[in-house]
Amino acid sequence: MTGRQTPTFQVIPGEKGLAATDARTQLRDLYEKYGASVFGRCSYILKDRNKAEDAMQDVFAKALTHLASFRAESSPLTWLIKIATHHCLNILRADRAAWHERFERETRARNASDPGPQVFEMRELVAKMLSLVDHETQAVAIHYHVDEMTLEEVAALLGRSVPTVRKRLGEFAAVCGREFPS
Amino acid sequence: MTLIGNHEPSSSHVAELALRCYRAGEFAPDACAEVDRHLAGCPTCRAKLRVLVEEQRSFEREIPFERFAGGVERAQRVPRQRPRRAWVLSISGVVAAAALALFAVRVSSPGHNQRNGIKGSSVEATARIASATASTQRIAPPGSQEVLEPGDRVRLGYKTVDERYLAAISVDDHGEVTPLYPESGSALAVSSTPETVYLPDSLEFTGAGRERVFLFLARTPFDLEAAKQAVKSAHQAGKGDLSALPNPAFAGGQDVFSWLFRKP
Repeated sequence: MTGRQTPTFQVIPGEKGLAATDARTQLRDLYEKYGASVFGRCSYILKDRNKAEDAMQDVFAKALTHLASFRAESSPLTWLIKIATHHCLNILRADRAAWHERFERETRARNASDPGPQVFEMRELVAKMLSLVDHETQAVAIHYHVDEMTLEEVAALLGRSVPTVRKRLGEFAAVCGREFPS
Repeated sequence: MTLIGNHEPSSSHVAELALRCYRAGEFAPDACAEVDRHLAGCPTCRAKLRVLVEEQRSFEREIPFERFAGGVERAQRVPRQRPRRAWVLSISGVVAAAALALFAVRVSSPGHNQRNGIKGSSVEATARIASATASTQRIAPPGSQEVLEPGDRVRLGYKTVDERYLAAISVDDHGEVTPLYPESGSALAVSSTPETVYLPDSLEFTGAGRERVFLFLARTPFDLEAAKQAVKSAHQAGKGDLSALPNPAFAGGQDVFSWLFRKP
C-alpha cells in the first residue's frame, strides 16, 4: 500500500494514567474522521440503525482496546472498515430473529431464474445477495464492490491470495447471476 | 492503496474507500496532491466527496459525540453478549467426499420413527457438514453420529412432496434445549420441493460435549414451545443419554430426523 502517512491523531496505549480528557480527545478525533464511514458500513450490512449504532460502538471499542495494532495500521480507516464488516457479518449470522426473512429471500432468489428487468446498483445487489454466500465471500464482495478495492487490496486486507479472492468473487457473481469482471 | 482507476480498467475515478481515506486526512502529501488534481477535473468524484462530507455531518446530527463516546466506553467496559452458537451462511467451494466419522454406538433406539430419505418417503432430511475452510464437505444422514472438528459447520436440508411445517431444535448433554429454526413462534411452513432445500444458515456448535439435533417436519402447524417441551421430555426419558433419546412426540403427527454431534 502506498500513499499513506502516519495517522494524524495520536493513539495512546492504555496506560493507567491516561487522562480521561485525553481519551475523550482521541475519541472525538475518531468520531469526526471515521464515525460516518463505520456507521455507514454497519447500517449497510445490518439494515437497522439501532443495531448499527451498537455495532459501531463495538468497533470503536475494539479499536481502543487494541490500540497498538490500530496505531500500527497504515490506514486506520481501512482497519476500521475491515473490523466493522467482519463484526456486522457475524451479527447477521447470529441474528436468528431474521431467519424467516432470510429464508424467504433465499427462496425467492432460488426461484428467480429470470432476474427481470430491474437492474440493481451493484451496492444494493451485493446487500441483497449477502445471505446466499459464505462469510468470506461476503467480506470479499463488500470490500471489492462497495469499497471499490482492487483484488490485490482485498487479498491483503483479508490475508488471502489474489486467486482466492478472484474465486470468491466468481462464486458471488454466479450467485448474483452476473458475470464477474475479470 | 491504489488511488485512481484501478478497480476496474474502465474506471478513472477515485475508489470509494480511497476517497474516504482522503477525507479523513490519511494520505501523504504526494498522494493527497494526486487526488486534489483529479478532483479538480472530475465533477463525479467531487460530488462523491461532497456526499461523504455531508454523510459525516448527518452522522454527527443523528448521533452526537457524547452519545457516541458514552456508547463506546460502555462497550469497552461491558462487551456485548455473543451468541452461544455462531450462525454462518451456506458453504460454497470444493465439495470433497470425506469419510463419515461415526461413533461406535448407534443412535437409533427401538421405537424411533427415524426417517432417512429412503425411496418412497414423502419427506427426507440431510445434514451437510463443512470444514472451517469449506474445503471439504460431507453428508450426514439422519441417525448418524458425527464428530465435529473446530470450525465445522452444519447445515440442515429437507425435501418434501407435500406442504409441511418445519422446526429444528437441539438439546445438549445438560438438557439445555435450543430452538434452531425458527427461534420462536410457530413452525415454518415449507412447500413441496423436488430437490433438497438447505436451510439458509449453518450451525457452528461451541462448547464441549454432545448435541442432539432434531428436525421436525409435521403435516399440521405446531407451536415451537410444544416441540421444545417434547424434546425436554425425551431428554428426561432418555436419562440424559443423548444417544438413547426416544423421538420427541407432540400433537400433530410429524416425521422426526435427528443427528448426534460431538462438539470439538
